[in-house]
Amino acid sequence: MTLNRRDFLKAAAVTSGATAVAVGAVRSFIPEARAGQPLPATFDTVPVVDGNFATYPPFEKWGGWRELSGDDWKRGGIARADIKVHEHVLVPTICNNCEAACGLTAWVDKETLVVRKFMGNPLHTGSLGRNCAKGYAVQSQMYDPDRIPFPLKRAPGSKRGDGKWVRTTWDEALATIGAKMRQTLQRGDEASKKAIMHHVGRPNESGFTPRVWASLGQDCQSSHTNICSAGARMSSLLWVNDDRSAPDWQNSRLIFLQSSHAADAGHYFQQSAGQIAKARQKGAKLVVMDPRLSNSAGIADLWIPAWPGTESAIYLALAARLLKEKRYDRDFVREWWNWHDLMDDADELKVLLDRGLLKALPKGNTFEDFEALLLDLYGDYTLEWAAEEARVPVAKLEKLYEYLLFAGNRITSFFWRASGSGNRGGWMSSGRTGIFLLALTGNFNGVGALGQEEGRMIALAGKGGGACAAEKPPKVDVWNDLSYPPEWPLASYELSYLLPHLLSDTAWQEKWRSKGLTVPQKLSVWIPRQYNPVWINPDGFRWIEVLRDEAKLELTFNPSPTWSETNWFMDYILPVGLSGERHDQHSEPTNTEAWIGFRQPVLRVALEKSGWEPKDPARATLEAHVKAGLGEVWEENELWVNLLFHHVDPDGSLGVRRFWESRENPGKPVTIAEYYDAAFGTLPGLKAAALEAAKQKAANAKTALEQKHAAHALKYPNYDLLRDRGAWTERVDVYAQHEEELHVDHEKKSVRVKEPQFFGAMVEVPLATLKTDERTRQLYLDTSEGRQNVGVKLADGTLASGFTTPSRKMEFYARWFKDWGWAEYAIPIYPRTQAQRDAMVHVVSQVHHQYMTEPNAFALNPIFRLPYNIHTRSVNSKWLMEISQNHNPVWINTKDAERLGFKRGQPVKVRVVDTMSKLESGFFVAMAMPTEGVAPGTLACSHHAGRWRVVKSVDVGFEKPLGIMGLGAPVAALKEEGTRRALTNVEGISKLKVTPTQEFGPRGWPFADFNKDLDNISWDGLSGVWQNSVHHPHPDPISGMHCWHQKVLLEAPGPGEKIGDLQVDIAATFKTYQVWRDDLTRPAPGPNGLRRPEHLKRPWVPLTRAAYKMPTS
Amino acid sequence: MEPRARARLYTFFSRLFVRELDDAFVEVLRGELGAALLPTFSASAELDLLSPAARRQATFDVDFAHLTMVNVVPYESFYRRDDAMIESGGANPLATFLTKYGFEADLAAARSLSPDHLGIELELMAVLCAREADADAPALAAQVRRVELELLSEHLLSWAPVYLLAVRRNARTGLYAEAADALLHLLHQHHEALAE
Repeated sequence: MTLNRRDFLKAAAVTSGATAVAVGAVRSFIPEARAGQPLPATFDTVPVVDGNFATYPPFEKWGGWRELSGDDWKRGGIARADIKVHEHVLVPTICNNCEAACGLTAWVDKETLVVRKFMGNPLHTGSLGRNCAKGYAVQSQMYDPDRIPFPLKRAPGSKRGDGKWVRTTWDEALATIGAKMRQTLQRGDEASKKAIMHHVGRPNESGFTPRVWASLGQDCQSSHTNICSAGARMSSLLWVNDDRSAPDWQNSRLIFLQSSHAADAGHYFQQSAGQIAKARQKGAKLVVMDPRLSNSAGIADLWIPAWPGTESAIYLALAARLLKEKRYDRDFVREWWNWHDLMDDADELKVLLDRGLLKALPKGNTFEDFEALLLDLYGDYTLEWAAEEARVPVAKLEKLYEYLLFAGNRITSFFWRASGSGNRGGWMSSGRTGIFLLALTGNFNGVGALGQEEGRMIALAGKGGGACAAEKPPKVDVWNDLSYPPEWPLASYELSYLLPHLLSDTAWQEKWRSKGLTVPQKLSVWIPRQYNPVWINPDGFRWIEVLRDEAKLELTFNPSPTWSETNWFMDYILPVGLSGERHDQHSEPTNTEAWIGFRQPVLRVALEKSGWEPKDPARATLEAHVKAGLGEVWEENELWVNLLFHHVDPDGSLGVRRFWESRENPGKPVTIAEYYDAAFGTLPGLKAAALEAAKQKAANAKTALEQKHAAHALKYPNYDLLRDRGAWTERVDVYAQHEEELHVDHEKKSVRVKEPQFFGAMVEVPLATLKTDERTRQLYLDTSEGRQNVGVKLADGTLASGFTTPSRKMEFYARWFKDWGWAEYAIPIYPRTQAQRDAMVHVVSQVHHQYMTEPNAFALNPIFRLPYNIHTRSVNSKWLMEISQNHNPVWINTKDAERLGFKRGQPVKVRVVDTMSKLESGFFVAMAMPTEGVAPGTLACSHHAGRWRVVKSVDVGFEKPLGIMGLGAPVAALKEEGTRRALTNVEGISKLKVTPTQEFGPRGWPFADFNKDLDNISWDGLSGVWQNSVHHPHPDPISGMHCWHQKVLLEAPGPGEKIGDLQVDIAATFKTYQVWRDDLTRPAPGPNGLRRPEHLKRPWVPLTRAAYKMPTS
Repeated sequence: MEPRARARLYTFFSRLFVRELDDAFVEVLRGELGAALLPTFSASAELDLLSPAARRQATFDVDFAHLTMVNVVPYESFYRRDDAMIESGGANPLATFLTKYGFEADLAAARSLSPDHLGIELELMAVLCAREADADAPALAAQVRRVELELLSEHLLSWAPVYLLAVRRNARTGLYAEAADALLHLLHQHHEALAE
């Protein structure tokens, strides 16, 4: 093919015919700056630290940092005359795109008030200045052209879902909503205290909103946790009565992950991944147990593609091997497990014997007898059996066992979603058996080990009451059966995803009403927040049914920055802020420190730093956002304070107003500075540092503006410190929390312990009443209700708190499980035979391989997260949509695909069947992706894509129509016939042309300059499918967790069926909810007529002890 | 070779290496210029794969991605930096050159990470050759030729041959393999002419 010179010259001589046209990548300009002339401006440079450029500007220069944009550097940098040097103020905030609470800094252009970029916050000791794609994408969410610029109201005369909207004002919305809430509270009866429900997706704050609901006296604060992580949290509650585990990744020698969640996709992954990488640098091994070859599994030392829900078999078999070879941490087990409770409980031992789980009753009740009992219980759990049960090669388990021995007492894991959220009994197959293995090797609360959240997470946002006329709202004295139905007395969190089912199920309501319960049949106000239940919850069409019913939900509003499928059915959509536009205190146990972060509206802070003052200090954020062109975008702290203070209880007669009235300015609502100054001031370390910083600021103040800032700092030092720095670390090296010494007052001869009968507040008791059980070293009090354990005496005589369990030990045996009717599951256990599986169905996954009887049957895993998606908040980010392409294939093993004839890119029809009710809910059509990266017999299709909208925009009488989710949601048609529902996509995502408006100006909403590249959208979103709507609701009978995995049957689509199509029969899904409820649960009341064990705190709003009592008819 | 003709050839290769084929460029490939520059390709059965669009994409776009994005790197800094990284900041070698002579690169138009992409350097050379052709005084033409020589010797010839040899070896289509060869000829021939 080599060209010779003659050919080449011939080519040069060609002058006719078509010629290529350049793409226009090179332009000329007239250089005005010449060498030797002074540079037009200058820019700041970062210092050199340890031979490298610092990653961030020094903190002292955050008030005024000058630099060029990245594009201008590429255009030739500072030497050019047409380059502009921008001066920024760096305002710290906290990312809101997952729960990890990583630090951000907003680089606000001082001249234009435009946030030019979001970077990390180097002062945040959890995230260390680093962020994932979602963090950097905050800017694209902030300037999304389809965000909502002002409050919207369903048009008068229209019905929910008609899509007719009008623009309204904040004042009108607050007045209408406040009046409805006030009317409800004025009724004052029991039902009225269960009538204003706040239904939060991911809270991403540490206590503010629960204080709002406590001040309303409502048992109506509800979360998304039972579609997220309630299963794994149940296992943590069982072992240590703590909400979640907290690993010490970076000092670990074996990182043994159940799923990819911790390292590449889910909870805390950005912070965890850095620590895991650091551990691996030091030689740690990484093992990933996941049926899907995730990014983490792909780089792991060992990938164990266990069949979903069979992880218990592996944990218990490894434990059995350690027991047989006597390679466990005997001292830790003897000292910190409540083995004695089991050995002393003849009834429980008999249950285990009768069920064939134990071969013989123990001879005595010593620790040695307990060791023998462990061998009896688990001796038959061999690695060979586990390999067969989990369908993995036994060699992999042998290798894993080697790693366990190598790592000793430096093993970490993280139990969060994955098995705990996918399977019936997920609480057992995640942490209940997983922590068993780790605690057997002494891996708990130590260096390099798994630990507990307590002591590493600081919730302050509900503690600003010191700035208010009344500090702490009283405990709520009712029980909401819609949140905690009697069938699930042990549920770790609210059964929130069943709200529409429970509101629709009049037979269920009547059943419990006839027994004396005040079961709500409707809600007067329903408020989702950062939550899109129509789309993300299973059985979404059931949600639509109830949302449309104005008799069941009388008034609804969503404080929401964006459109969503749920918002389409709301009465009001009230635009509130995104990551850098709201106030939240947020803390997470992402490492072994106790740190807090402060999410704050960066434009407001930037304006304040320039000397700006709001007209109404209680509405400062709203005013700041309007001034900066963002639109009439508010934030929720100020929203709730204003709503409650001015509209719900304007005269204080309901007793609500006092909790939101300023102590500093009586008669006025509390301000952000006042409230958070009080809240942050409850941390002694922070308080001392803040005072010092404020004094320093005052000493350095020279200009009038600096003196003004110094005065502010001296007045609100704690708030000022967090406003400037965005993060604070109160404690480091938080280990061995269970060995924390009890506070003994030797003068008063008293000791402070947690209230023993009903855990919660600390109480002081006479030291003389504290007794020690010499056999177990438990510290206890004799009370009128019997012995109550309050601590543990350590070997050196120290009086320690122990764990917050009833025994104050790690509970290998949960006696309260037996007391509540679940004796067979009171220890870590997993059935080994078919007979045992039949008898112990509560801990057998609904997608266990025994149910895969048809040749085209598969276990579908929908819950792996994609690192660039935010459940339901990615469609408002052009950058996240661009990198994800809204792409959503079904991973199928190549052998399965070949056997069934599915090829890459082809549509595949996925029929969804419940293995309890035997009912088929319907089907969805998705795109096949044959791969070796998924275990045979299982499928993986993430439920994070497949958004939809029914129209492209709405006309609300504004100067231009408002676009709806134009970056990530195709236009779909919904169909309804009897109990059958269907959706089909009719048009994909298309290019957008964004033009400015007169009202918000050239730089303001919809941000034409930032969005000029939307003529280059290259994705259509049509490979996604809304599979959640076809999912059966699977309420775990114990934890209440929705067990996400589904049994599915694959087949070729029928004529006309295309990717994205779905059909569902909501009668079938409803029946499945009833079957799981009626055939699997063991309802309250429990012992002493209780609704729930008293040591299990209700999350969010504290209840009175009386509320735990179940009424009788 | 006349500077105008040389500009045309540089434009041809710039277009080829900066973006996937489209209908307009297919017309060029099928025309006289394509036949003269790429005689082997033009006589091969591969020519039939240029249409319809789906077949073209499945053949040539895949190879384009393979040769310019995935497996072979068309950026000068990648070859010239010790750490083999693409310099996307102000220290990019071509950014300095562009500024010096009053040019700037539109990275979006070239879908490029930095201005030292082969397609941009070739387009810049095409612009220079066109300016040489347009020069209304011999002194000005000579001045432009000095800039061309600097671009060739300081930039293109310092790395493009390595890249083009890699393309020739790794290409899965005759189109890109032969084009790499032809472009090598053009660069050397141009340098020879300027040196004279």
